[in-house]
Amino acid sequence: MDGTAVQDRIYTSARDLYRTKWEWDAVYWGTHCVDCYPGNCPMRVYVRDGLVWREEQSGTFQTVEPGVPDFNPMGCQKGASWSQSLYGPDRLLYPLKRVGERGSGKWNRVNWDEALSDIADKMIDAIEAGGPQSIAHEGTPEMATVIPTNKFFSVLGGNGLDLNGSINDFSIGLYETFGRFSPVSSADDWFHSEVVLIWHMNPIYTRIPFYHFIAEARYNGAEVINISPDVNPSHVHADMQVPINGGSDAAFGLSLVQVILEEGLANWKFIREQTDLGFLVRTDTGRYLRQADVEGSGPEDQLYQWVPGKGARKADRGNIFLNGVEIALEGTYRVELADGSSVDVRPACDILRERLDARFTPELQQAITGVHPETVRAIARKCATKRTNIMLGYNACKFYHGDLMERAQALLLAVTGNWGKKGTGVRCWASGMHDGAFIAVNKPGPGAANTETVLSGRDAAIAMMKASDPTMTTEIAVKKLGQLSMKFQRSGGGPGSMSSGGERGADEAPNDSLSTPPAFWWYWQAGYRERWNTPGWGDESLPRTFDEYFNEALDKGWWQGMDFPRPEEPPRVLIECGGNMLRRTRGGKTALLPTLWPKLDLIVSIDFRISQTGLYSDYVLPAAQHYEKIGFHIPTPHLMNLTFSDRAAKPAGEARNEWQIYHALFEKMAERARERGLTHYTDATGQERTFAALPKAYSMNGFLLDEERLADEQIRDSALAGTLPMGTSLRTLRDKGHVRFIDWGLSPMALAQASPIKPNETHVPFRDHTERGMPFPTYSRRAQFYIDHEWFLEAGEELPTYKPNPDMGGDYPLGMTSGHNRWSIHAMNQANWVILGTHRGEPDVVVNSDDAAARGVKDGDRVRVFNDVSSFVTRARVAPNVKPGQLISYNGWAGFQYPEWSGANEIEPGMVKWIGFAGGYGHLNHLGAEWQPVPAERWTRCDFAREER
Amino acid sequence: MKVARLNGELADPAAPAWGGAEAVSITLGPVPIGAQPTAYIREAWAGRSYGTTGAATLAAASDGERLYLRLEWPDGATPNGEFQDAVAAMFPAGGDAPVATMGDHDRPVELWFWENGRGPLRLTSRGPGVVRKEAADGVAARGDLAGGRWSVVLSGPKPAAGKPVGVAVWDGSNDERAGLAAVSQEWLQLELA
Amino acid sequence: MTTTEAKTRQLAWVYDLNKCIGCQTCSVACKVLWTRDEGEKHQWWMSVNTMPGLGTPKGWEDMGGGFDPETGKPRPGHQPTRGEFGGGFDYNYQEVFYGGTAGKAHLEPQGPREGRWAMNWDEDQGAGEWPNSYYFYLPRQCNHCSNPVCMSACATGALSRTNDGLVLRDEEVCMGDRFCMEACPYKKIYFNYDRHVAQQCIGCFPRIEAGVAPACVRQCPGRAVFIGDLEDEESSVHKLVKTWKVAMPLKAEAGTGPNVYYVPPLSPHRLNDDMSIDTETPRIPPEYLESLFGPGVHGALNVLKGEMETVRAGGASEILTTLIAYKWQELLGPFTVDPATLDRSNGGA
Repeated sequence: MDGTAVQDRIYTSARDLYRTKWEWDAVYWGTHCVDCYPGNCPMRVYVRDGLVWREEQSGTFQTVEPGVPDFNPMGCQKGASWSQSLYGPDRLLYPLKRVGERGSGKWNRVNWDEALSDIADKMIDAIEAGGPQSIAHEGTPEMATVIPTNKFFSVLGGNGLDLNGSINDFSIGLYETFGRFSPVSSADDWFHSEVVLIWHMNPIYTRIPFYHFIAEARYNGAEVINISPDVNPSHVHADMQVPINGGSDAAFGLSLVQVILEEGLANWKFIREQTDLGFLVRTDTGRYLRQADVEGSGPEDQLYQWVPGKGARKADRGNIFLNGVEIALEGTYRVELADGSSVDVRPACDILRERLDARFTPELQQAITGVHPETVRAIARKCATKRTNIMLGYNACKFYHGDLMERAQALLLAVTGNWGKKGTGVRCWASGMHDGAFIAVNKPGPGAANTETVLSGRDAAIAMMKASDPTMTTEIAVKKLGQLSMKFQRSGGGPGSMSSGGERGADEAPNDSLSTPPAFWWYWQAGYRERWNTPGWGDESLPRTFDEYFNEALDKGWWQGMDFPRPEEPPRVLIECGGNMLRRTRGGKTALLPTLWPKLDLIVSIDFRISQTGLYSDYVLPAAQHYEKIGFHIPTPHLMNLTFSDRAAKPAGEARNEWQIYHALFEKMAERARERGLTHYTDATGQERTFAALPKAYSMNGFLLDEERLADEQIRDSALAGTLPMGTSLRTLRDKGHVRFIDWGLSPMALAQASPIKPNETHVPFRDHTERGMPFPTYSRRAQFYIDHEWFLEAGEELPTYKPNPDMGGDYPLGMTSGHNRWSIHAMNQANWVILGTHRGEPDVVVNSDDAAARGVKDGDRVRVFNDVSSFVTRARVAPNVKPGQLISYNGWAGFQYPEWSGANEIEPGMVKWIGFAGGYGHLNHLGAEWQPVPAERWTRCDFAREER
Repeated sequence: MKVARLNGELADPAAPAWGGAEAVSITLGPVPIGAQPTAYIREAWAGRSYGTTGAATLAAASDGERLYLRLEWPDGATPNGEFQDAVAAMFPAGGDAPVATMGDHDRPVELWFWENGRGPLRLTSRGPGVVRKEAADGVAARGDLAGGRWSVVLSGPKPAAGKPVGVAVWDGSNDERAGLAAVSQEWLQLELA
Repeated sequence: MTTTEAKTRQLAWVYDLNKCIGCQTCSVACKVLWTRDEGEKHQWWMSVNTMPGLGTPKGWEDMGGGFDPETGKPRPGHQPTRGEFGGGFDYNYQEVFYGGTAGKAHLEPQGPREGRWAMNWDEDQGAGEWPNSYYFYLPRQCNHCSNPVCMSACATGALSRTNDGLVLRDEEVCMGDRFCMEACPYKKIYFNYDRHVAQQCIGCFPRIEAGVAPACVRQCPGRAVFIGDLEDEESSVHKLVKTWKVAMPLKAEAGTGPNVYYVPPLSPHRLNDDMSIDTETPRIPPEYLESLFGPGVHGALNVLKGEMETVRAGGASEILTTLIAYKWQELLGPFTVDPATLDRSNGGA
């Protein structure tokens, strides 16, 4: 036989080996709905023999704006291997019941009926003992979890902890400035930037699907400037690396502003119209000049500007444009008051400049930030003349004084006119647009007619609100309605939920739950009071203790209706559906296990895996994952698309989707209550709820249990609400996988974008302000840099300033920083065997080579990281790119990856900045996910030492 | 050498039955560097010693159905985990195939091949390491390491008549594989009883 | 012995290191697609490393192989060991989640910790000293060389080149002798200890045959990699490599004629001792880049910088327009078929 011929034959067969590996039976749409934000990567899910084989980015986006790169092929390594979590060794397949102590890791496999019977009994016990408000959840932003969970708690009358308060991705400084924390450009808009300041963000880790827009902007002429203490991964494709002392960013930002004002490079018209810096401040009190001062009565929030030659004039609250009127930004002026006296007033800008000149010249800031003065000047001049885009992540907000950093950043944009036009702005996070997802589950019943009822109810409520003040925007009206609902949620009498249109019929169940900022939960139920009052861990410059501020806030009713659960009403049941309280909470087990856990008679974790919280739960119930249920990703302005995820395969093992789990639980509660002779209970507002009605109320007579029908109605309801093109349905979405939104809808974070959606253009927020003069939803109706709330004045924070980071955790030489890692979405991919192969496969902290050497630590050594709070054991990764004095513990490792299951959050004291308890001032009022006290942990003080095994 | 006619567990190199078989020592030598099949191998191994196993002991037996060849040689250093100790019995597969180069392009040899941790293979070799896998055709092998010595029994269907046999030994600790072997310098004629 | 199909085109990859963010999506895409079977757990046909670094396998740059530039003869190389590749760890999932250890056991790789290594072990460590430390990301795969030393080193003729210029292995013919692994100067060939064959990137040839770009290219979210026919003068890969000379192979001096090219990395300015910016000195030492990409790297970086200056001044640049790749499909060369549209219920047959 001829040798070559044999070779060919074998060769062909070996090739067939690989050809037949690349085979599938069916293809579905999928995306990863588990709190991956911005996420929304459309994937194709390839199925073989009824099981998900693999996934691949779809690459199906069309160009949005001609001349701007498209979004393809959105995805990342986590998304490209999610199938390996679906059937991985950490996938939870059966209900488990704890048999040892909590956290012992001893379980019995039980069947669903047994698990739900016991859970139902304990929930009824809790209701009997403390009402339904003693049953709480924290949760996760995953839509397929949020909606069924919220519905469950609404029908139950339970208590939901405000998720954003515990996560703290809340850019509090942006909120203080803009009355919203959520400006978000579409990611393709980054391409328009001329200067990209990567500042408290690490997009090379955290924006993998979108990073290319930055690289492409650079090829399109942009300069990329990376500002971080460490030479972090995002320096790699930067033109300039600015090493900055940890936590000193506000001083650096204010110095940029100082240069711009000093050198006359500011956009003065923009400052006058868009900001409150032209508003008059009394020199005697430091408070704004108000109508009541001048006229003796009138709206408290009517403020004044100075027109040279004409005098003080009332600032227009309905439109911010000046229409050619030149208001003063400097000088001192005399104003006659209603009582006949007179007072000196100055534009806020004048005070700002005086303070900047006194403290934040480039030379003065160098001592604080370590940044060379000429670097400050060079960057300031660039920002003043070019479209500047601050790539802000959810990092500054996790510093104790992160709000001051963000206010300085906002000020930089203000003085350079860098919002409301393409390639500019700053970002946090926002959602919304898929209004139908919520309408469909809260309307009186299925069908378009019910949707129209809800929609007209929403419109009527807004119209009523606006009628009380014609200068109100829709956004302001929606927020005011929400704020009022919060205040009256425990007492009734509020304006009612915007999404539950119409009066409740006699046979319908109540449909509202409580929502509380978690700060009160921590303070009263989890032992944080002592930590927050520890001298040195908080702001030492304040004249009063933490508790004095806390008590004053309650006394003044700033948190009326929200300051729960009080000590006398302890929580009894915790249901974490997708949430992971023990990993997320700053303080972790150290804080929660001795304090909160003993109060809880029942802890249930509903998840697709056993999380850190699951390990310390009484039951873990297996949930279906995306690819196993129909769902949508949380929509975001980053992408402006609704992204669809189909049911490609049956849930693994005995997993069920959340609707089925909660419905079965209500059925079991109804059954057990009947057996126990119980018929009804009373919720926190005094309404009666009937056990027997719970299942039907939850499922809307079965409607919500039909995945296909529910998804179809959700999509159609968004079309009816005007956010999706008419005709969009489950069928069309199943065909295309994703569809671009055409309008914002009525959720506050979507309205916060304040820009029109144009079909062939990138999205940049705030165009309504710069192009139409629309007011901001702040106290002053401007981007507000002077906050004359009494606490801000007391703290010296009425204007953006710099304050040093407090010694959270004690007097130690190192500052612990963090940020999302490259390898996981929070803890969710940490046990994926493929992802574990892309790094060292175990947690570590990254430390500077010299700091390591000084402690006798080599790369890979086991180390203990410690402070006054606690300690944890991990490995050291030694790298010259870490700033001396900095220790980086990237966020997202699961506690169970560390010895003793104790991760980095164990040493975080979980401080909250007292000022988050301020209220009763325009935009400083709570609304879900918005203004509230939030935990800080960046630059927690610590040290580390070699740890022998 | 004579193939003994024996009964017992001949596939087991430790079987007592092997006590009844004649054992001969076979002198081995490295396959010449110049005969190595690729320039890379010649360059990389020009200065390295290989084929360092100097001799192996061969015994042959048959139960009437199968031919059993028991090979024994001293174990080298502990392998590094990359390459394993191995042994092969070689038979000319047509013509007067050269044994010291494991056949050549036109005159192949057949190998019954065993490697520590890996099942037996039947191979055709057309030069040092120039091998191709063939259907197993009943070839089996079993090896034991005891007292610092490997003993391996290779077996296959009993041939119809006597035939020449050669031996190749690879020391895994010295990265020996393919043509980097210690091989018989001449064929040894097997005589069936 | 070796069969080489009549070559009709030469596929080439161009990785833009100014776009690569080290996310490993290419690595993971490749792994989930091709190397999940027995003996493949530690194999990463595609991998990304932080440079400078020891990379994968550990210390690969000092393992020899390739051809001697003086004599043209193959140069002896080290066969990377299982430990030098590292990775492929087993974890104690059962013990942690169900073992009743109450925290005594945590999820960690099993086996000795001392001397452990993995595909991306020295991620983001780099070189230099703060604040002038530096690093960048280097994706690596089989270079599908035009003069593949692996192919010529193989005793059994298991390797051959296809008419697309891909170097493929016949695993039926491979005897697991690993001379290819020694000879390869890039050390991108793995050994399957279970199946006793060597394995490496197959260029996603089943996808190529169907008009679909390789997973590493099509799944790269950084839009950092181009594929195309190097001999097609209209292709992006030809223009970047041959016309504009802004992309060059890695360690070309090894003489194997690699068909994977790199647009070399720019880097931020260095800082002077007083923390002012030194605009004259790039952060990554040019001599280091030359050690990877050859002397042509300096010209390539100058071209890139010049083009960027031009664009910043309001001008146009065909090179940068190409690198931006306004439409994603421009990266995929002729392989623009959407795989989801294919019927592959029986291997596409």
